Amino acid sequence: MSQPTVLCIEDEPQIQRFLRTPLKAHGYHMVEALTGEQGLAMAASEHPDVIILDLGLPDMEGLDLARELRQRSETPIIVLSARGQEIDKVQALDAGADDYLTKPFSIGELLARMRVALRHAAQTQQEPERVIQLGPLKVDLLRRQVTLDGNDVHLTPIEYQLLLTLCRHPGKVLTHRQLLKEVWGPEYVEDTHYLRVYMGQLRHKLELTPARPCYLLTEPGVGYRFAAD
Amino acid sequence: MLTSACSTGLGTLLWRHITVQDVAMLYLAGIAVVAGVWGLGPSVLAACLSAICFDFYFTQPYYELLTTEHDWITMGVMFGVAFVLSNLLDRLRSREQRTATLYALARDLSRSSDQERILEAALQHVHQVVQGSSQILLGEDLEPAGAAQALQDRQPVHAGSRWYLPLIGGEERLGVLCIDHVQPNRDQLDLLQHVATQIATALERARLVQAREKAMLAAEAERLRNTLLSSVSHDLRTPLASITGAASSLLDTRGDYTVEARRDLAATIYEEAQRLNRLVTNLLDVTRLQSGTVQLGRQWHSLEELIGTALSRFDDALQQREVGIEVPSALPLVEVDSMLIEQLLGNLIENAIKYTPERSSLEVRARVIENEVRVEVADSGPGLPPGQEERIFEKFQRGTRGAGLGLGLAICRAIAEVHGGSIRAANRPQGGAVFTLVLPRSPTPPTVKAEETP
Repeated sequence: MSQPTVLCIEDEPQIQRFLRTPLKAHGYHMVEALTGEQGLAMAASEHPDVIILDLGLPDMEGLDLARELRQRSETPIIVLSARGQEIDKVQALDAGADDYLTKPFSIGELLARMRVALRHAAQTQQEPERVIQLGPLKVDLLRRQVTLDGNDVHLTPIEYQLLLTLCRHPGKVLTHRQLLKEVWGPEYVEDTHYLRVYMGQLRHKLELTPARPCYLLTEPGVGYRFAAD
Repeated sequence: MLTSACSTGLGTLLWRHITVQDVAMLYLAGIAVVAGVWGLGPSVLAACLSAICFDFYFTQPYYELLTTEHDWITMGVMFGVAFVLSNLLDRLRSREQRTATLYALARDLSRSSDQERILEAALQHVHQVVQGSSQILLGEDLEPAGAAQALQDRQPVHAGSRWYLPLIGGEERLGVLCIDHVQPNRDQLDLLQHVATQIATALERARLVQAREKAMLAAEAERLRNTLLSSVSHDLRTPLASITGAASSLLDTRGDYTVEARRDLAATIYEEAQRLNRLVTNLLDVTRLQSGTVQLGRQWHSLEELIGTALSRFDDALQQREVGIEVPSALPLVEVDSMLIEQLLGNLIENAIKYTPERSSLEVRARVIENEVRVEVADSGPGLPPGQEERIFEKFQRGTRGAGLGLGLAICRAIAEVHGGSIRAANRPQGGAVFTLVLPRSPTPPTVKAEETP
C-alpha cells in the first residue's frame, strides 16, 4: 500500500504531537481523533489501515471502544495504556485488540507493532505459511518438524502446539487466555501455571539462554510473543 | 447422707462422754458442711435425715421415732437452725460463685483488645451462667423491637422467648446481648446485667484502642508523606534538569553542534526519562504499599521468567557487562504478584549497575533450600560498607553515588515482606555485594497434567 492510514484516538494533544513527526517520517498518513465518539466516526469515514487507541479516554471506556471498533471492522487495533492498568490491556486484547504498548514507550516499539499488525492483516488474505524461519530456528508446519541450526529438536505434542500457535503470529502478542484456549481448551483459560511450565520447557529446548529469550518473549502481565525478525 | 451417718457414728461413740445437746451440735456441723459444699437441696435432705437419726438414736425412747415434748422442741430448733444455716451458706456460695464468674469474665475480657475475641469470650461466659443460645448484636439502631426498647429504657427486656440486655458503656449505646429460650431467675438476671456492663466496658475499651492505633498510623503516614515530598523535590528535579538542559541544547540553533553531539544530547534525554520513569514507579509503589491499598494479585509464576523480564528492562545498560544466570530448570513455581517482584528484582539490578564499575559482571542465581526459594543478585563491585548491611534497607538511605530517592531497597524489603518473605544483603568473600531474596516455597504447587504419550 502506498501510504497506509493510521487513526490515532488519543485525547492528550502532546502525545498526538510527538507521534506526528515519526509517523510521517515513516510514510504513514495520520488522522487524529481526540474523543472516543470522534474515533468511531473517523474509523468509519477514513477507513484506516491501523488504529492506535488510548485506553484512558475520558468520554468512553477504552474496552467498549475496542469492542465496538472490532465489531465494525477487521482493522488492527493497538491499544495504549498506563502502568497499573494491566487488566484493561488484557481485556482489550481479549476483546479484539491486536497489540498493546505501555506508556511511556519508544517510537521504535510503536512502529514495530504497527508493522507487525499491518503484515498480519495482509496475510490473512493469503495462504497460511508452511515454513517459519527465524535465525537458526526453523519450524516446518507441514512435516511438524522443528530444527535449530539444522539439528532436530524433539517437542512433546503440547510443546509443539504451543510453539505453533505463537509462531503463526510472529511479532504479535497473544494473551494467556488466548494461548490456553488454543492449546489446551476453553476449560483451561484460568490455569496460567500451565503456560509458565510449558514456556519454561520450550525455552530450555530452544533458547541459548532460557532466562533471556530471543524468540519466546514474555509480555509481563499480558501473555507471550514470538519475536518478529 | 454420708455425713448424717458419720455424725451418727461419731455421736454413738462419744455417747458416754457427751450430752445429747452436743450430739445435736455434731449433726448441725454435718449439715453445715453439706450446705457449704453441695448447696441448699442436699442440705435440707441432710437436715431431715439428721433429725430422724437424732430422734431415733439419741432421744428417749431410744430406737423409736416418738420422743418427749422437750426433745421435740430440741429437734425442731435443730431443724430450724439447720435450715437457716443451709440457706445462708447457700447464698454465700452462690454469691461467691457469682463473684468468681464476674472476675473470670473481667479477666478474659481484659486479655484482648480485639472485638471478635471479646465477643467470643463474653458469649462463653454467658453460656456458663444460663444455658440458652445467646448472641450479641452491635449497633445503636437494632431491628428487633425488644432490642430497641432495651437500649432505650436501659433495662433488660423480655420479648417473646428472648431476653434483651442492653450493652451500655459510659454514655454510648453499643448493642444488646440477647438470650433465647431461658427463664432466668432474679439472681441470674442480676448477674447477667453485671456481665452485660462488663462486656460493654470491654467493647468500649477495644474501640478506643483501635481508634488510637488508627491515629498513630495516620500520624506516621503524614510524617512519611512530608519526608517524601522534600525528597521528591530534589530527586525528581535532577533528571528533569538533564532533560531540560539537553533538549534546550538541541533547540539551540546558534551553536556549532556536530551530528554526534546532537545524538548524544538526544540519548541523554532518553536515558534520563527512563530513569525518571523508574523513580516515579518506585514512588508510586511506596505510597501504595504504605497505605495498604495494594491488592496482592498472586498468581503462579516462573522465577526464571521474572528474572528475565527484570533483566530485559536494562538491556542497554547490560550490553557492556557479563551477566551470569543460574536458574535450575526444575525450580518450583512461586505464587507472587509478578509486577511487584519484577520491580524488586529490577531495583536490585539497577543498584548493581549503579554502584559498580562500568564493565564489572553481575550474577543472578536462584535455588531451592528446604522450604525456601532464594534469588541472589550479586555484583563484583566494591561491596557494601561493613556494618551497613541492614541500614541500607531503611528509607532514604543513599549510597555514595547519590542519585535516586533512596527508596529502592526499602521498597524491595516491603515487597518481600508482603509476600511473606525477606531480603538481606551481605558482602561476598570474593568481593562485591550479594542481595538475597527469600520467598516461602509453597507446600501445594499447582499440578500440571502429564501428557499422554502418543
